[in-house]
Amino acid sequence: MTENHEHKQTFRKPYQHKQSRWWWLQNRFFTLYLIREATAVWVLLYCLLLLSGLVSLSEGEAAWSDWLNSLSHPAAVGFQMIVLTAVVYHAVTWFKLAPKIMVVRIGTWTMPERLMLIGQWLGLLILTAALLGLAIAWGA
Amino acid sequence: MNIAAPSADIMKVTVQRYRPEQDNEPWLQHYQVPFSADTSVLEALQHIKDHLDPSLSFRWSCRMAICGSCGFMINGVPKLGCKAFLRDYSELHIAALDNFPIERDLISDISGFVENLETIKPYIIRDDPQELDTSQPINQAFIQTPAELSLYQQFSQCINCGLCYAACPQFGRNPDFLGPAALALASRYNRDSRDQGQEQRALFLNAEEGVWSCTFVGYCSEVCPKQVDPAAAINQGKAASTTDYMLNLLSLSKSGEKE
Ligand code: SF4
Ligand code: FES
Repeated sequence: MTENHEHKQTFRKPYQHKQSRWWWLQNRFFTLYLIREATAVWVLLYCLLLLSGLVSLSEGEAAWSDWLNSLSHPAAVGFQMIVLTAVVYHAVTWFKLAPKIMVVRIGTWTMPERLMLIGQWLGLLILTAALLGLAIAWGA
Repeated sequence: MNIAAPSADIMKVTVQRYRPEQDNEPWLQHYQVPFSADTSVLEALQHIKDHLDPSLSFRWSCRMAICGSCGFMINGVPKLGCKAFLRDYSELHIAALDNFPIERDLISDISGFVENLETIKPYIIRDDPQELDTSQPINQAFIQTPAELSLYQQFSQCINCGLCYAACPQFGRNPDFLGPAALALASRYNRDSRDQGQEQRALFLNAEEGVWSCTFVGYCSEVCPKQVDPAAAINQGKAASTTDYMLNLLSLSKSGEKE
């Protein structure tokens, strides 16, 4: 038996490809996915900006108005535009994915994806309008 | 078959080769393949093997998108060779499926994928096997309504072609990730009204290599030839996994109360 074994030969040598660091450039789908994930970075930076506002608020009125004024600096406006774009992109892509994550079934009826999409956008619009309304009422 | 009909168009087909007994890494070989409007990529490969180069190796069986053995990277996209047609391309580049070890030429070693499928116990589990009347087929022992069937039917259409694994960067990074098809199949059994194996499967689904390794890239659902939508199955599974976790916490705190 051992003899037999020694005569057996295998050429098996599976080639294992290593994933490239640039896999996300391989196709459009991956790239768009990574942009979606990267929007989180911009949101984080914006949170830090808001936090710095809170800090300056605690430091008194002068610091607070300095902070407010700094927001209208062209660089700050540019930054906020980028953040806005990132957040909108994030919302669009996640709203699209949501019907896949949550299937609403009532009896045998399944809520169509379109209806869920519309519902989400309506919800966002109403909330935004309410918040804006509140802010304006507060300011007045 | 009238392959060399003078009217036939010719396409340049580049094929990735790898011969383990001589090569240390894959390389590319070019062929000129005649084709007509109904020539599939699989038929192009068969033409190469029959007429140009008998040493080329690839897998196939059914020729009709049912056996799942002819998955290749076709111009960089995971596709079934028998379901892709030369008429849709101006040039072809065919390679073995991404993210799997290459055994030879276009043949990938999918044993890791098959093991992942086995891990999630893809069969009907009953708490009490004795209750099964083995003299009857399971569809008579446990009657199921069309509504109950519709809950999992989509996820039962998988043909184990592995295209979704070739499309998954998370599987490419970590081959221990159970991956799209296995997780979709787990979901298929968990949704089956005849099955009682959720708890046994939760062990694998809730683990690091289970649903939580998925970051919803979603390309798996895009390339699936059977519209299984594994990304949806997995991410609905995340909701279930979270509920599991919460329920566990609850029952823990409850058992604490009793003492
Ligand atoms: S889920 Fe789709 S792509 Fe993945 S193995 Fe099954 S049939 Fe193929
Ligand atoms: S040969 Fe069976 S799926 Fe293509």
